[in-house]
Amino acid sequence: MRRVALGEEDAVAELYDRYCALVFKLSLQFLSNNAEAEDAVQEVFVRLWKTADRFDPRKAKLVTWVMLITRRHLIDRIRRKTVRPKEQEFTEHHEVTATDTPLPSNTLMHERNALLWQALQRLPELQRTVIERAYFHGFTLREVSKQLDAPLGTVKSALSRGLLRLREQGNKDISAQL
Amino acid sequence: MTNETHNYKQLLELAVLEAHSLLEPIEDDLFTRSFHDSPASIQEEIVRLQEKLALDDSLLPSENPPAELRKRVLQAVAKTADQEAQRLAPLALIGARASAAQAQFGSSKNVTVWRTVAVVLFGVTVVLAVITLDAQRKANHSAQLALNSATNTALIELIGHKFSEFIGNPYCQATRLERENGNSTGYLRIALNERFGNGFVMGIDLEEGEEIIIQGTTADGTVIELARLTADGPIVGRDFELDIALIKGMTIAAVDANTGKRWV
Repeated sequence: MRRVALGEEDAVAELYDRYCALVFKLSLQFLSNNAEAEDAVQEVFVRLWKTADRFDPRKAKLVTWVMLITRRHLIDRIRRKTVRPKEQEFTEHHEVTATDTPLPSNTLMHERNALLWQALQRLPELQRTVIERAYFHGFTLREVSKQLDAPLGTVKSALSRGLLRLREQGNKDISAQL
Repeated sequence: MTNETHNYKQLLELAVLEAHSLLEPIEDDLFTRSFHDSPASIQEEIVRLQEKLALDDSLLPSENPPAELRKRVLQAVAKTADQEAQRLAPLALIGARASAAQAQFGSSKNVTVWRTVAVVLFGVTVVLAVITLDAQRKANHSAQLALNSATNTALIELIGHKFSEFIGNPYCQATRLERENGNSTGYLRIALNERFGNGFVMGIDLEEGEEIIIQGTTADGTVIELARLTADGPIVGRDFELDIALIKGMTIAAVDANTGKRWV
């Protein structure tokens, strides 16, 4: 990342070759089509170049940093672009159909993320709800806390446990740590 | 559950949220602080946990990016880098202009040399000033010595070589006498040698033909004549002898031998 920060073209190319697949796949999970995902990948790598000097190898592995910047960018993009459901609608929706997920209705997205949707449906209600709202709709934890009228700590715990449960299939040992 | 365990669990929870970029900036800062404050083993555990979360693509779509995306991305980064360089160009010019301005007055090395020369010249000036003042002082002293020497020679020619025995002699006590009536013309200098029992009297600017009697009053009040001096020139003088035993406590006075006017 030091070489990336210095603007070395080879270093940027190397970074892309190592992480483009992960960044692209995550972008596809968040966004509705390939074109948007490709644009997002482009923007993410520009952002990585701009923030390279902030990377601290003592605090995180490079892949963690890359995915953190990617997720941050995707959430920002969702917050900017998406007209999120109003709080009242969300609350009403939650009260009426607790199991009906407010996820994007794009069919292709559902097909791509079939495994994710299935895993989500198996989560406890609170965990599923906070993941949907915080992770896929870009609401802050405080907003979700307010929407659900639940303590912030509870929302945090539910979100953290839910995210780990989603990955149980691939990383069973991680959930054992919490 | 201890507080330590609770904090440990909280830290892991926050680590999961941070890895998913779900912490707000303030919480992110708090997490970073807690991370750095935690033991190295917990730090390693968190780093490993976040790495696993980052690498996990089990729930991600299976599609790969198109090959042409690589070129687009690299071009976008290069373009942004160029734009950034252009944006920062004015800042770089500030340095360049400063360098150019410096170049008009020579390089920084030359400036340093000139400053050094200036300091050295200032030092030399100070030293020269000190030397000049010292030389002037010595010259004055030499001139004074020369003048004194010339004066002494002249005085010796006028009043005899005995005069020099009383100049700067630590055993001599000197007395200056002036006319009692306030007429400031002329004066007398009398030197008494306590060790050898002799003395010398010198009259300067006395009136032509004036005769002066030098008197000594001993400790018991006895007045004795020490010498007579007749003014036959601008400077006159003579030596005289006296008893050593009388010198201690003696006061000196003089009187005009013709008019009786006193010198005190």
